[in-house]
Amino acid sequence: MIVVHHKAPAACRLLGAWVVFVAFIGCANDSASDRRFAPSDFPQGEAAAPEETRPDIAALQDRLVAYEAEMVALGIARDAPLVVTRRGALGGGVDKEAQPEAESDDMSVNSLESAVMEVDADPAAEKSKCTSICAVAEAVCMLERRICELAVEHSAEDNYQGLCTRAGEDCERATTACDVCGDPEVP
Amino acid sequence: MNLRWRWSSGCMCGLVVGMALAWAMTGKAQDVKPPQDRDALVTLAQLVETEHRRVDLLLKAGDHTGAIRALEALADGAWPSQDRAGEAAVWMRHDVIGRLVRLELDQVDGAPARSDALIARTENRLGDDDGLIAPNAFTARLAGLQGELLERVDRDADALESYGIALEMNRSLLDALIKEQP
Repeated sequence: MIVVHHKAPAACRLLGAWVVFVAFIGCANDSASDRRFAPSDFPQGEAAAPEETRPDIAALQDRLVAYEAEMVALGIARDAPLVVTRRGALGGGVDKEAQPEAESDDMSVNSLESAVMEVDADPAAEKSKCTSICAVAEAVCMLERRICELAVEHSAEDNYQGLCTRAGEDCERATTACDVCGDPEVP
Repeated sequence: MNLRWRWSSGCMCGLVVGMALAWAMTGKAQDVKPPQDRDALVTLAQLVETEHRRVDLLLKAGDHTGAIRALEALADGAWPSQDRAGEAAVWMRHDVIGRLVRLELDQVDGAPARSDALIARTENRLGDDDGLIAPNAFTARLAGLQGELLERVDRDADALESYGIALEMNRSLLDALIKEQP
């Protein structure tokens, strides 16, 4: 796992930047992210307050200068090479017609391995993708624990049991993907 | 404990910076709404990152109340519109509120003293983005935290709904990562 030491914050900032970048590209290129969530999907409450729309740019100038200097020190300067993220990130996206919708839900462990290992030859890009997958796996399995604890308290209600079952399947799938990613023995 | 805080805050800062860089450097968003004004987005990311650092210092000094106030001020302060700064601006706000809720939840075993206000805050913000939010880790996390809040005030049915949203978003993210083509 992650070794915590005194250099951890800088390393983690870089790691976090990678994670978001790769996750972002994945979302931007894939039909799986076509799903969007409306407020009605969430438990509803009071209406949102009106927004202010203009940050005070001038007041932020000093922070900006200092921050940019730190970004340079961290190696994430404005003109940092994009190739470090993933091969093809700026090229063509996924051919959506060649990706049947049912594939994602019915993916076997073997095909999951193939898909997960079908990453860039660049080891850094591969590692960042694995980091993203494992982060999602951790989040999903945490949700599974919470959902299934609730399901125990509502043992007679099908919707709780159903979501617990589905969360379990998601956790297993995500964990498998994470394990495959991190297993050096997998060709 | 300090190292853990440093590690987690470092990750959080990195997430914010990475998100801003992804937008500013690639402009490749196809499913999410791109910013009209990238400078506004980058500046917002820098502000959020700086405020996260201030919160780190407050927590390091044991000032949880100050940290919560700082996050509240950030979340409630001036924020560029989605039209101007893109959908990532909404995600960043969800990130800030997520940290705020996490801090409040970690203070007590049961329901936080201001549960109603926190729930209202999460409900309001999850309604951001003109009603449509592309799957992302920040909103997924906030939806999960909303579920945890609702569970602590015995609104189990609503909590289940929030957990379901968080699960669905994470599933979408995982699908996107697994199907990512070289």
